Amino acid sequence: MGWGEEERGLFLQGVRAALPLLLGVIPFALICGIASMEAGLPAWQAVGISLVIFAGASQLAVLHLFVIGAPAVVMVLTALVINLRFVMYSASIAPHFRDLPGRWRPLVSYLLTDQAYALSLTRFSEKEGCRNPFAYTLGAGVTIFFVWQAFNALGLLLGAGVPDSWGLDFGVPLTFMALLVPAVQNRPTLVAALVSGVTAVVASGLPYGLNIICAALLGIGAGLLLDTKGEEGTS
Amino acid sequence: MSHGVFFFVVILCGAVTFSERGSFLLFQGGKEPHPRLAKALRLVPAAVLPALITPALFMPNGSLDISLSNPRLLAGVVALAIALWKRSVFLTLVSGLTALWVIQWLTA
Repeated sequence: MGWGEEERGLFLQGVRAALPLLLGVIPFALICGIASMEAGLPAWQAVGISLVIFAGASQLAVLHLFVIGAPAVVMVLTALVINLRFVMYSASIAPHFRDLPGRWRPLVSYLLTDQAYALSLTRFSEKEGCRNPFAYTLGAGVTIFFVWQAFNALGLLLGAGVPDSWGLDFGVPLTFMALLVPAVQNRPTLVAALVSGVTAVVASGLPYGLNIICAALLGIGAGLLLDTKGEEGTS
Repeated sequence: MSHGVFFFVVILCGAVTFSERGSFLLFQGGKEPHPRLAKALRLVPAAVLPALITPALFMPNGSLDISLSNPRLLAGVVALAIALWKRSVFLTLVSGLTALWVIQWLTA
């Protein structure tokens, strides 16, 4: 793929668009690094988990499950459910990459974080369109990747050096809150969100953090039920 | 679970995550998902994210605490208001963390 002026411009546009979002990425990455150290992982594993999974919410969940001694199958299922949202991202962004050669697709897939997805889809929906979606997504995705890995590593070095009283871990639910607001667009999504949020608390007594999986599945079920009913009502 | 076994599980989680991200980019060749699947997929972020939020707000110490003496719940309400109003990750984070610090400082 030849990179001309236009591709370089779009790449840099992606980089610049990602910069303000780094303020959400940085604390999240630090927390993941700190959590890996607190879980007692050797340093190479703490770096490895972030490179291999590269999805903070599921990294934290899997670390938590490791600490409480959950079985492997629960860890994999929890990561699968938390990251189900990437299937939605993949489906909605794939049409923009119809012309991208197959050899570049694994890279786009790997870099498809919450932030890279949100930026890319917003950019591609602009009126003037995007002549080379790959260049833009690469710019945003690579920026987030390097900053994420760097601050994850910094979190490892700081380890328990950051006092708990700073409440930096509170940045994680706050990031999800900011991502949740645009995801709630109508009654089915609102009901899915409410059912999920309530279930996660009510079912928190379940062993091995299974409340997350239950909450997500019940939320999807409730949303689908309402969605189908709503359609019958209007047809 | 030993660290060696755990890292094997991490690799499995990574493979699952990569497959989810690549589902339509790698395996479906840019095809649109089946309408019923598309409907379920559109609900996923709204159904997954709250499960990661509410326990952190309502049970910061492991047990349910719906009271004014729960600083994370109060700070979460402030952040949610800002998130709804400004729709910005940055402002949501800044307002939520600032609210938490102020409330903790006031009640300390």
